[in-house]
Amino acid sequence: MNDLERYVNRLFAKYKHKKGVLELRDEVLANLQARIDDEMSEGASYQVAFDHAVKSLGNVELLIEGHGRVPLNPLKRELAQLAVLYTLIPWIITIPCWLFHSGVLANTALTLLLVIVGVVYITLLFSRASDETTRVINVERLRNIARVVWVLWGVYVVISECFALGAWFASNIWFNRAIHIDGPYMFADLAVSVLLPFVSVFIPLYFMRIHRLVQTRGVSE
Amino acid sequence: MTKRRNALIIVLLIIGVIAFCFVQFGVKAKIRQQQQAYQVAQLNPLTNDFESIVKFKNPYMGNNSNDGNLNANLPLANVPHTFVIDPQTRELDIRYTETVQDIGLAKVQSSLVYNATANFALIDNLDSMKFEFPGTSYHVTREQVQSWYGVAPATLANQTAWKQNVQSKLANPQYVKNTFKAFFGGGS
Repeated sequence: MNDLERYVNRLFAKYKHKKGVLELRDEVLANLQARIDDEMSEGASYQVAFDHAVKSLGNVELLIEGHGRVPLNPLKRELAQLAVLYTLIPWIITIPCWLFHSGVLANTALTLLLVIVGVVYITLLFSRASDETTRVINVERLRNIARVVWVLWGVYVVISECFALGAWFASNIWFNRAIHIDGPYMFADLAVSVLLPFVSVFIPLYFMRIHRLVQTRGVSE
Repeated sequence: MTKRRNALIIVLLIIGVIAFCFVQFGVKAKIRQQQQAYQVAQLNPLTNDFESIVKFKNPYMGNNSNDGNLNANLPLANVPHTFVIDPQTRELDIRYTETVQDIGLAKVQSSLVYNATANFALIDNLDSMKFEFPGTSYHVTREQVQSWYGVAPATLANQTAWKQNVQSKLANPQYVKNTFKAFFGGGS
């Protein structure tokens, strides 16, 4: 294995298990080799020809399926803006939950989160970072992260529901006692504690939106 | 798109802040006010909510937490006190830390009549009660209460009977004095 092969292998090392990458690697290797041979036939030394070929290569990640180049700072701003929007909605929904014990913590946590994402958004909005900076992002990885977040959210909801229903009805089931709901306030309290975990759906939805946003905001080379 | 989203954020923020203020300073403040009024009403024998004490109906006077919770929902609950349960004599002894003069004789009389009746009506095996204040104590037995009302105290433990035979009658100061004398004599 010569220098060029080692160099190209290193470039694709992270993606070697991906479909089509081996073919792509061989193609890149062949192109670089051809370019080096060309320059050497015109009298350049191997090292100079190698350096020129490597410089001309650019970012190989863009050649791999599922990768895209995105404008970094506008993307950060938009993501922060969406985070504010995605936090605002559950925050408003949980404001009436202040009347119930289980809702106080949820709305307080959302208030804190809203303040944090709000500060981040305002900071990014007034920052003087260049809009020209771009970065290659693995869009497919973002989609996988969104899927994992959905699964984790599902697990969280199932566990939370078990706890919520257990806290209300476990003793009734254990002692074989009839369930007794004492008036509309108790019913509302029960409904809040059962429905509250679903409010956190904004988290997987936000991750899904990140994936969609990066896909649509990609810039062509 | 970004500008439209910013406008949406501002509109939602305004809605959220208004809703937050409405809940915190409108609805919750009103609920707090109602709760305070309810707590004050609970301390008055004429307005004490029987529904809030009937849930402490219990066959055993030895149920410490039930005794404590029942008396925490009765008049004079705001006066610092401790209580002692004597299972041998089946006597509940409530020891207040303020003097009768500080609380007011009329208030003490109506409250003790109400509290003694409530304890005997709701705790089945309670035989006697002692209410102690610095310098004074009042003792009452189940028989004295039963002979005053002419029925077993437990039969008073429903909303209608309670209102008719116990609570509404305490509006008459002379009735309070007579009942207090019948229950506690002159005290000691």
